[in-house]
Amino acid sequence: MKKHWKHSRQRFLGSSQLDRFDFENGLRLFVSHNKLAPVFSYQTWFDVGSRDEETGKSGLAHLFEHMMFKGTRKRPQGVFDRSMESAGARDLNAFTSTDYTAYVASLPVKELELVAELESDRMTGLALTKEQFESEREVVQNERKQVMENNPEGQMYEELQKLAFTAHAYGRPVIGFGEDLDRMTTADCEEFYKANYAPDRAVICVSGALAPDKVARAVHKFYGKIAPSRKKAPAPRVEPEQNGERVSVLNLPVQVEKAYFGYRVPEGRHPDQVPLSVLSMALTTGRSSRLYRATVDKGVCIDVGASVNSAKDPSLFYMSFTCQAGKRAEEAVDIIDRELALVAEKGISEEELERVRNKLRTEIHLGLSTNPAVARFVGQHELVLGDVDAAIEEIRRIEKLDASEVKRVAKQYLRREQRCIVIGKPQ
Amino acid sequence: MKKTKKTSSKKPSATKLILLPEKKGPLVHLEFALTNGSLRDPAGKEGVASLTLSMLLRGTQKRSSQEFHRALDNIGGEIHLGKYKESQRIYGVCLSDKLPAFLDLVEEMLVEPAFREDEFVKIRDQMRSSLLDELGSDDEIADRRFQEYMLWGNSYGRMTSGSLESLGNISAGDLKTFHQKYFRAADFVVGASGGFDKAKLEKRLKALLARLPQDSSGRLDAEAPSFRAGKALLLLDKPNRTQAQIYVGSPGISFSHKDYFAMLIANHVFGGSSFSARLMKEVREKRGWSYGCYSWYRSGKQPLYFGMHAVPSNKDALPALKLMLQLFQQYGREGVTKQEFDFAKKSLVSQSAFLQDALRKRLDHKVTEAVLGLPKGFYDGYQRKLASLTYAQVQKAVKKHVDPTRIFALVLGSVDQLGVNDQGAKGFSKVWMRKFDEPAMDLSAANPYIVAGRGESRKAESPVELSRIPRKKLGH
Repeated sequence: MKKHWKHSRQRFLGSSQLDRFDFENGLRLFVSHNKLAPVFSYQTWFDVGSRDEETGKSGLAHLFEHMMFKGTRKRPQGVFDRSMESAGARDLNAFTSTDYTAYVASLPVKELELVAELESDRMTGLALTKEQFESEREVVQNERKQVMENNPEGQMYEELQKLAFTAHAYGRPVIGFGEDLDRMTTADCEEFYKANYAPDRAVICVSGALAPDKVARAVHKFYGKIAPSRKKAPAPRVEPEQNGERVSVLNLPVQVEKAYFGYRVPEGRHPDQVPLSVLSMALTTGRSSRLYRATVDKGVCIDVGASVNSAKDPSLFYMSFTCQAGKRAEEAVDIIDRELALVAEKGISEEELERVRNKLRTEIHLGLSTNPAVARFVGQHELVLGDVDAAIEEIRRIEKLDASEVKRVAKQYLRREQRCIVIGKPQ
Repeated sequence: MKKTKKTSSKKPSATKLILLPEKKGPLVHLEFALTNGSLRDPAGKEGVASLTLSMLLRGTQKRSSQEFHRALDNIGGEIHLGKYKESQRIYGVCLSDKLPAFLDLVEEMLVEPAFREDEFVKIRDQMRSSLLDELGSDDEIADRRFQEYMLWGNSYGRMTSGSLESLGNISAGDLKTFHQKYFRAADFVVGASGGFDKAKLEKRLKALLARLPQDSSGRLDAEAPSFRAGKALLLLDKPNRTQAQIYVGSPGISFSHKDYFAMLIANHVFGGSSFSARLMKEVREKRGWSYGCYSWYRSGKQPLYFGMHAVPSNKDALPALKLMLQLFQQYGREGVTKQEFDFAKKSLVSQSAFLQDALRKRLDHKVTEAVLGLPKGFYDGYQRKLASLTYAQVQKAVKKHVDPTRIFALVLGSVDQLGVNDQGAKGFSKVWMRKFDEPAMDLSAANPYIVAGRGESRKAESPVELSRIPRKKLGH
């Protein structure tokens, strides 16, 4: 019997394995098998996000994600949700980011064919109406008001992205600008759908009590005849170099001062992502971390955080804090600057590095202890890094990392002239 | 405040231990649940229980706060605190091979906390700042005020994190007293799941708990909240909002009530976490008025409340509130259809498989059963209980427990933008307006809000019932 896919098996984390199936139409399937309970998570990741939107069409990827829950040519509106929920679907949801869009659900194992059939149907069979579109656009405008306009932190985040990216689409909010959403039409959605929703732009990730071969057969049964789009998304605009600090102060309905920082860092596949991740953990993970001791423990802030964004294109090393009542954000910025200068000059100790490794070991086990989390790890890294193996290799590299690497990246990237800061102050 | 607590005499009993080992599990999850939560806060000193728990992570007799956290972080361990009204919890997780060192740290924080004055001042200031920070979040402050005003006078209306006023009344000595009085072995439920040797861990935990006073601080039964007859609306004014937060409350149901599962099914139809639920279909899908619209039961040992939530634009706020109330009224009057019942039952029965899909979840359920005094196997029997329910039982439960004549609604937003007029407030027996950052108060002692024809407003001289008095009679 002819096999319609190429199969490979690779070592995943710990003693687990990950099965990969490459289908003739370009669809990729990953299956992580475990037997903890008779359930599984099924996630469909599309290689499209707000990064792929044209100027003036901000928010289209996200608005379209909402439209995917409307009717198809075979199934009117409401049937998808009712069928999935009736089968016991949990966490039935979707999310859109700069680099990807994902549709997720968890189900009892006997419902594998149901989810494969419904997901394959909406991959190409969506039937959009003007009425549905307009009602959903109103929902998205309300979502925007909730997470951005009426949320001080949302406003600060939007401002930071705008400040940091003057040309690249990362400077626009994933949810879009209100005026762009107002101008959008059903035709925009249809065009976007044809260009981006096809098996060769998708990765299916399954984690749970299902044999990999069984999943591959079901996926082939329902997706095997769907033609690839063979379309490539246009390359995004390149962001020019930043040569000087950019600062924005917003007067917001807050009672305590806050700040968001962003330092320009390379794309997710860049080797410096590993020491940058370790640096972010040394700075703010745990109450013995440098910035927690210097800001929260000293009574200047109530929280402080840092993380490096792993994106397709060069992105940001984020930092944020919230001040204690009566403290000024500038005071906290000065403290953070002093601490960063110290790391750039002297690096971190071996004790700190070992602490980060131990924290990371715990977090990896903790973060990948559920089916949805495993499926998400695979989907996200396969699309952002172009290869889930690269993510597993990054974790291995942390175990061998030298402390001098952390010092080097602190000096190289956390420089004032390539930083943006947004400070939120009470009105 | 009226008396809402009854305390029985102290009775010594053993700590409940729940151990779920997993062969070769890379992590160990620990849960120390104390059955004394913020309901134990002294009147006027709300926040004591929460601050006491926080102080456990602020240094011990042997180590300063920084030394403690350095030791914890060095082994990759994590400790999180859960602060609730009926219990307080310490959640810990560590790598299996670091368990002995991790348990030493947990023992120190539980048994030998230092309660240093300087650390107390730090966390009290942080907590005050967090409360001020909360005022910047519409959702968080609306949710807080909703509970404070609706449950005013009842112990459950006193917030776990206290208030700006109550935090000022607390001293380090209060925390030490709370620890001595309520951190007692017989009041703990301790659980663990993951990669450990059961016999060894049991011995170690028993040794740890032996260092706490062995008796119980006594049982506490707080009274269930009561809801006044009629429909009350509180407008919380916050300037320059383009959207409003709507919260609606009505009488709830306790976990242990025989109709609890029937009401789970009924609520799934009405506004549970389903895109097929009535609230979601009518408010979001058909009209696009809110990103989400849900209802839920906040349950505990007592029936706390039933809640609904939506976040519409200013122009849609009062129409959305009106629609939610109409749907609730219809739900109370007619219940659910047989088709809706079949759908909800099938969904919830199938979803029950997810209650058992991680060892950590099983542990948390068993600990919760013990803490809330639920029947043993409450969660294990979830699927069976749902599956056994009939349409007639659910309809009967809806008639009994859904009460659209007792409503407390809160709308937080820019009141001058909401179009509050006769029409908007129609149907409410009382309407009040307060500023969002004013402390909560007893509304029965407050002047209601008068709504004039064009939306202007002023304070009334005496209580009135808006829906029954013609507008012209409201003036002076």
